[in-house]
Amino acid sequence: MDDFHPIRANSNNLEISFQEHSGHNERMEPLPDERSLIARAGRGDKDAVSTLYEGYAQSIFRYISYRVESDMVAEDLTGEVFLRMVQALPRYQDTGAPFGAWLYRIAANQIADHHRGKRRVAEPLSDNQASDDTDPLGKTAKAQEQAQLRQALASLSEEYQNLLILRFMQGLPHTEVAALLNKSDAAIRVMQHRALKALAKALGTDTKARSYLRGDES
Amino acid sequence: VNDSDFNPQEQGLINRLANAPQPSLNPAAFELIRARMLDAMDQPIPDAPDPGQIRPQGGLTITQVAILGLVIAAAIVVILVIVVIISAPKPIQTPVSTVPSTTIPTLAVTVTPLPQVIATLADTAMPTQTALPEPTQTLTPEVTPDSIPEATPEITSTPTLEPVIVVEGPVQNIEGNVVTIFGIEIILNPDDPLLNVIEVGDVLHVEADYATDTTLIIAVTVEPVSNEVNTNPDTGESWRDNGNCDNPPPPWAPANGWRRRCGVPGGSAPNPGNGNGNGMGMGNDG
Repeated sequence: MDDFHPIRANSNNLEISFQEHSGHNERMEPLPDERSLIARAGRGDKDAVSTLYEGYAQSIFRYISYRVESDMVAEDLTGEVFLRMVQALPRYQDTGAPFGAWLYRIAANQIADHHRGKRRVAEPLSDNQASDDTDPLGKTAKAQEQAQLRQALASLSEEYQNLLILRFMQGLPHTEVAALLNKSDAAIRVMQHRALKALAKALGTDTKARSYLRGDES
Repeated sequence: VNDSDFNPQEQGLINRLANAPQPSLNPAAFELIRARMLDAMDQPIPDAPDPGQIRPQGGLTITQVAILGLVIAAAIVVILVIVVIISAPKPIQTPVSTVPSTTIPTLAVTVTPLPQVIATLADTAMPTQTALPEPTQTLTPEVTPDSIPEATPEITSTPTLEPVIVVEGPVQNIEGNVVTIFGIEIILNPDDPLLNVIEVGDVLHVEADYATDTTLIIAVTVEPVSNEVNTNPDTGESWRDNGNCDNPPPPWAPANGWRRRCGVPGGSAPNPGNGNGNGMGMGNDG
């Protein structure tokens, strides 16, 4: 059922993720020899930690960026997520759940803390917006689309936001989303319809779509 | 994204989400985060809870929820106490009154006025033995000795006490100086002039005594109760109304019945010898 063709961001194809979005979601698959990497990272191996970071940084950042108000905040929170990862790795216990799921939970907790106002005001880690001046019109359109989706997602419940981002933007399968949200697979399959309906209402596309399907001129 | 479970509208939204702009960390931020992360590895690691633990819907950890619950519960208790104190100033007294309220039952028990009161009542009321068995059990030894001596002198007239026998009733039989009243033979003084007057059926008041060494009852005083017989207390002379007016009573005899019947109104003194033939006059003794 999952017809995703993910492009995993790892140390080898990191530059791909920096390129223009290809229209496919990035699926977070376990890194090669991930268990060994985690074990080494837990023992303080900086190379292993760096490899884990390279493998998951972009996915975590993208997830966060649609849950917060700006990329700047998303960068800040992403840094916090991996800082917590480093601090907690020595105590990390492999329960069989994907390592990425653990990172997403750290990110979700950081986002929740952020929305509760516990976190400090984000400081820009870099001049992110000033680097790419090619295709300014396309960039503006993407920024508008991103802002619209952010606004619509922000109006939904936390569960619906996580489900839509992880399932349809990050391309995670039902099982992983279910594990992340602490729900059953069946519950996720039911909930995704409700989440999509809520998103359509938030975007105002439900009436437009009905009119389009009926052949009405919009 | 192809998923047959989705309708066209949902599929459109899914495609929109899948093709949504994917922001990415720029290289500078990417490297800065990595540097911070690797630097943190050289510093002592704080002993913090698992940052990836599942939090409840509100984003709180389980421990935070537990602590929050305790705080809320404590706050509710404090608020309730304050509300109780403010809304009712007397509740301050109610705890004070509740303490005596616990002693009130104990007073009711320890004072034990009821058993004692009942006990005094039981002195005269024997049936309380069945109603209140507990107090009577302890009190019966005190009650019975008192009641028995009071009852025995009236019921059993033992000769040792030499009581006076009082018999008052109609004469059933007269044999010589022995008069029978209620089946009791009473010996009168043979010289008692009353013996010449009394007849069977007369009512006598006899105070008697047992004769020494015998069971015979000896009359001490004999007085006629019936108005039909009068006795002079000074001389012992008796007069009997025989029902006719031809036997006038002596002056000392009241003989009210004879005087009323035979036309002498009132007065204890008769009208002697008026000779009107109405039967009034001094009677002879016998």
